[in-house]
Amino acid sequence: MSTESERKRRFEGLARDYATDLYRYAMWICGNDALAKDLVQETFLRAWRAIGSLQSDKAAKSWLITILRREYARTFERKVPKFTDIDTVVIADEAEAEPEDRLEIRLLRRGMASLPKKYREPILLQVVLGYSCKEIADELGVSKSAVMTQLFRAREMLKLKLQEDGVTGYDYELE
Amino acid sequence: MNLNEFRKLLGADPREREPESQLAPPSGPEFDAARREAADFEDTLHAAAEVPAPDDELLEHLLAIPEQQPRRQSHWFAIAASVVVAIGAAGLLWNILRPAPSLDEHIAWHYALDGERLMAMASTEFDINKAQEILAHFGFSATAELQGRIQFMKICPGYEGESAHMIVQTEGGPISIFIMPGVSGEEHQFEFDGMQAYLVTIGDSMAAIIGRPEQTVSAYGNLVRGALTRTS
Repeated sequence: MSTESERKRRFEGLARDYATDLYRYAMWICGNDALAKDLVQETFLRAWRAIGSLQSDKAAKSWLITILRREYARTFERKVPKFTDIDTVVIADEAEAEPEDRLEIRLLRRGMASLPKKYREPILLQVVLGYSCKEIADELGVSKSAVMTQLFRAREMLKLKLQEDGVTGYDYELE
Repeated sequence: MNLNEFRKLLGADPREREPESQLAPPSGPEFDAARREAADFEDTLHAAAEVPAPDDELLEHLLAIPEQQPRRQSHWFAIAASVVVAIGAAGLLWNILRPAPSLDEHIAWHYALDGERLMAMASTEFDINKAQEILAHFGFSATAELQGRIQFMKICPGYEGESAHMIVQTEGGPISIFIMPGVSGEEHQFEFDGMQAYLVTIGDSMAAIIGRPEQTVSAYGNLVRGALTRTS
């Protein structure tokens, strides 16, 4: 097999394995379907050009997420209006949930979208992509203990949001 | 570990997968209650974070990337390209730090983002039904003549919300058209990055016709005005 066809085969494997994860993450940071798809396409375009620098396929997911985050910061973040389609795009999946759960899910979704970036990024990496605290720390370039504090505070903010909106299932307070 | 410390740990690692959680996990009624509460919240949080998988079209576009991109170039070409990219990145950074872009700046940014890539995806086999769906989504219809010339179309980020980005075949070669619903402004022509754009008004919206300078995009103004109709 030629080097070029091997390169192409490897790229196709990455696209098939990670396109959905990257799209889901992109939806959360862009808040818009069209923009998320553009961001994923730009990410894979850069990945194709640089695929020779990917040492191991085990590192592919974090490599792609790093490209995506950089691409978003470089090209998208301050250039396009803030979209909130994330609020509507998932609603169809809630059809089977109880009304109270639907309300809670909607409030949480809005809460996640409105978290400060410092807290939103680690919790999205953990919840949407299944990253460990160590992987989040590596991705964000901060210590693991800082990540654990940010994750804890992010959840506290979300619980507080639910309480403020009258959903009172999580009403303990830390001393 | 006391209950407060445990709750803090659960706040960071509610599914107890981290080494810190697995090392001598505390037990007892209060700890178990905290675990259940964290698990309930986490289930709801994961449901809230769920996003449906993208349509198959995205994967098709990704798999087409190697065919649209040039093969690997020589080492020196790569170095030269890196320099160009670095200069471009510096320019982009300068752009990013600027305040809200004007409509012209937005159009230049949009074209730089995916103009050439979508041009490479244009095909005479493009499904015109998809173009009709996108036009209807924005409350537009197109004449049969224009529909017959559309070789690619997708929804893109716009100046105010979303826009439609289409590639249209003309006698002078393919041109790009951004349909920007709800955007108003003066009709005018401008140049950017070696391209020429001509903005025309269509009802309460605008369209940007983009091509190379030799394509004289202003000549397509009447064609676009006459071929697109606001339906809602």
